[in-house]
Amino acid sequence: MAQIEKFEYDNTIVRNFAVASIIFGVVALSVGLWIALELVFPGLNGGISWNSFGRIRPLHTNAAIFAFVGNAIFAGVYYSTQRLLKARMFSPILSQIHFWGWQLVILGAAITLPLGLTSSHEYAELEWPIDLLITIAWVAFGANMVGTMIKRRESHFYVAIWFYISTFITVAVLHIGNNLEVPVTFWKSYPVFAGIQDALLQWWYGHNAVAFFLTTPYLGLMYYYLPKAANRPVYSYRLSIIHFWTLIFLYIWAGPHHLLYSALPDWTQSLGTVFSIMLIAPSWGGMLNGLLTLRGAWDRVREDPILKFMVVAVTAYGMSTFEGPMLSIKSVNAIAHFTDWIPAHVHIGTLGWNGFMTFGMFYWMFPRLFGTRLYSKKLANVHFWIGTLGILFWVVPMYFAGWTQSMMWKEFTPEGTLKYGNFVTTLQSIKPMLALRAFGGSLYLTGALIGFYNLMKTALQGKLIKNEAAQAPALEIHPEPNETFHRKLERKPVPLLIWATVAILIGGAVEFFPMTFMKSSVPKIDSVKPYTALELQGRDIYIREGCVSCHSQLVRPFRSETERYGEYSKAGEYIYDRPFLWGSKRTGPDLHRVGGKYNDVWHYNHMLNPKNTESESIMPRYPWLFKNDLDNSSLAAKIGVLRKLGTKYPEGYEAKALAELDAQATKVAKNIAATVKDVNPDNLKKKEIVALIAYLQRLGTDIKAK
Amino acid sequence: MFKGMFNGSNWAGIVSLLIFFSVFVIAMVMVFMKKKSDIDYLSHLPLDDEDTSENKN
Ligand code: HEC
Repeated sequence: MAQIEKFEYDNTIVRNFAVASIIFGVVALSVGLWIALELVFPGLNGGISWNSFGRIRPLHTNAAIFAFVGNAIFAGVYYSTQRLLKARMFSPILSQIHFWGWQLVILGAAITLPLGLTSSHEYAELEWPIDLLITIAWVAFGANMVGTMIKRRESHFYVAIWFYISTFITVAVLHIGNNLEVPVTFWKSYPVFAGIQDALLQWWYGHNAVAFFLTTPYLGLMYYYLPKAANRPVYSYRLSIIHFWTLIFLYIWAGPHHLLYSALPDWTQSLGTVFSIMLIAPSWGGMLNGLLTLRGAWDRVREDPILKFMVVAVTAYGMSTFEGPMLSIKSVNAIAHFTDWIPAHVHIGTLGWNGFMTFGMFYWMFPRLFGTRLYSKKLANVHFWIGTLGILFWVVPMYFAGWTQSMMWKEFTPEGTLKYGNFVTTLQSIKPMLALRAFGGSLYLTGALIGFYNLMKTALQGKLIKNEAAQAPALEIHPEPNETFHRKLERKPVPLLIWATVAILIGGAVEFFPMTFMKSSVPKIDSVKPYTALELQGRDIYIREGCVSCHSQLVRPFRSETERYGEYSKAGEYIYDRPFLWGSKRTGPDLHRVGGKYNDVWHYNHMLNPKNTESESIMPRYPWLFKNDLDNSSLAAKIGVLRKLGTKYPEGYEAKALAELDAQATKVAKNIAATVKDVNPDNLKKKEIVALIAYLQRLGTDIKAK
Repeated sequence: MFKGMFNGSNWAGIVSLLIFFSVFVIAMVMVFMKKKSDIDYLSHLPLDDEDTSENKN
């Protein structure tokens, strides 16, 4: 028998991440509630740029995913890894770099996103300097994990550790892949890929961010904390291994299901569908494994709020992983895509699975970190019920809204015209649902605040056990004769890492390489030309304002869409779009063919206040675009970078660009001044709004039938 | 649904299904080659440390 060694677990770092998670959880939920209210009462934004929907929606999503859930993952992983490996975290310095680096990223996001500094890739909005910071924090995390694995005292890796490791490597690959961008200035960059390639890469990322940031780490947490809370081993350890390998292998292929009926090649879309459906098997295996762990202990579930939170979390996991594959079937997708059904689907996952798992975990963990008991079991129960009601009030109205929108968008009269030709009629009918959703959100937030109070009280009544004493025999590895391959794999961190990487890379490679290297996959359209200098500037304003969070730029090949918007979108039309702006939700109408639909004056009035043209609109007003002068200081640099990336700007265009921009702006300004009173065209032409209008008028006109 | 995957140049669909099937089979084989005692040992790993809270349950 090996010698028994004494050592201590580091609980301080766990406490730090946990407290950060709870605080940012409240922030993320509050911002979410705020933007939900802005959709109900558009006046709430006060015409203030940094308070407008398009700019703070990414703040909500990033805060929820990376600040609330992210910090919870790290707290959960640092606590369980030390205990599963019988070792203190490898390096206190790496722990500190990881913790403070991550909080700095969050601070950076909280400042830059409301300022409109965004790459516009959903859930990867942060600009390149912050991307670099994320990389540093993430590498510190990984190094700390692997270091701890190497100096461990337990020879075998429990399945939770595998989930953590696959999370680490996959997120690293995704983060680098989706942020391949060329900086123009300190806060502006263009992505290396354009159009449909950019879209494919983004949704390969977006999908797998859900898979490997919101799912795999949480499955690891489930496999540790659920047995802990129930005080019994997982139902089937064998199943958990199959769950692991099949899940990480399948997930990565499914990204294209976000782009069904898009301009993406058919085979890529089909691949996405097939793999998404196959995903049901491992996901439900995992859910059942979690629920069956509680077999024979259901009487305790009724009493214990921690188990209650976890049961609802695991059930929500099962629901979203059933719904996800269903949404990947083309005919279902045709109904649900771009509607409020998708946010409902997402919130089952985030509020139910991630949120409730997090709360369950913290209610279990805090008494142990602070050597005390939970301050109030009753309050935890109240939190559970308010939270559950909150989820229901959030998702049920949104499912209804999504369905309603879709049916109204598609309905034709017997004469063959659109029944609801005016988009706003469809918006009108879902307004009550948007209000109910905000109510659901406020319930969930109330629950979280109660949880916050309860956990803080728990912490205050106890005392942090900074260094928790433990002991275990030193690690001695003597391989058994006839050891199976998998058993070896379980003991060695490096091969496990390599195999998991191989598993996730195959899927990404099969999807992406043909797209990137086969020219023929994007049929060229001769009439598609690069944006003019003014339009390019306008496009960057569109990106800055986050118009993409309400407007798609992708007309799908359905009669109901071509009738409403015009010719369906072709892959070849997007070759100069860096980044692509297809969007994922239509709170407003699609804009890909809006060019030429209205005159410049209409846009001028509409952007000043959408209620000028449409009294029931919930679109924010954009008064600052009428005050701010267009900043052309980086125009030449932008053109240079875009040319290097493949946009066909002639050599020397930089020198002429400003003059050309001025000429086009003068024309637009004159058009407007001719109709709108009290407008001085010489003043107006310098304003941002002119560039935006020029861009809107260009949209989709390259191939528009005259 | 499968039409796009299997016509002509669409090797990717077939290859990917084959790869997945192999992964699945390998995982199954590996798992069922494990000894019962190993499985029990592994599944109890989370449970063998002390409870530092006051409400031991
Ligand atoms: C909160 C969601 C939201 C945001 C953000 C938003 N819009 Fe809208 N937009 C709408 C809605 C709803 C409508 C339909 C009612 C109307 O015409 O105002 C609309 C309509 C439009 C239309 C008219 C489309 C048509 O075919 O009639 C244009 C153009 C437009 N928006 C441009 C923009 C631009 C540019 C931005 C960013 C600066 C933007 N929108 C941001 C919700 C939004």
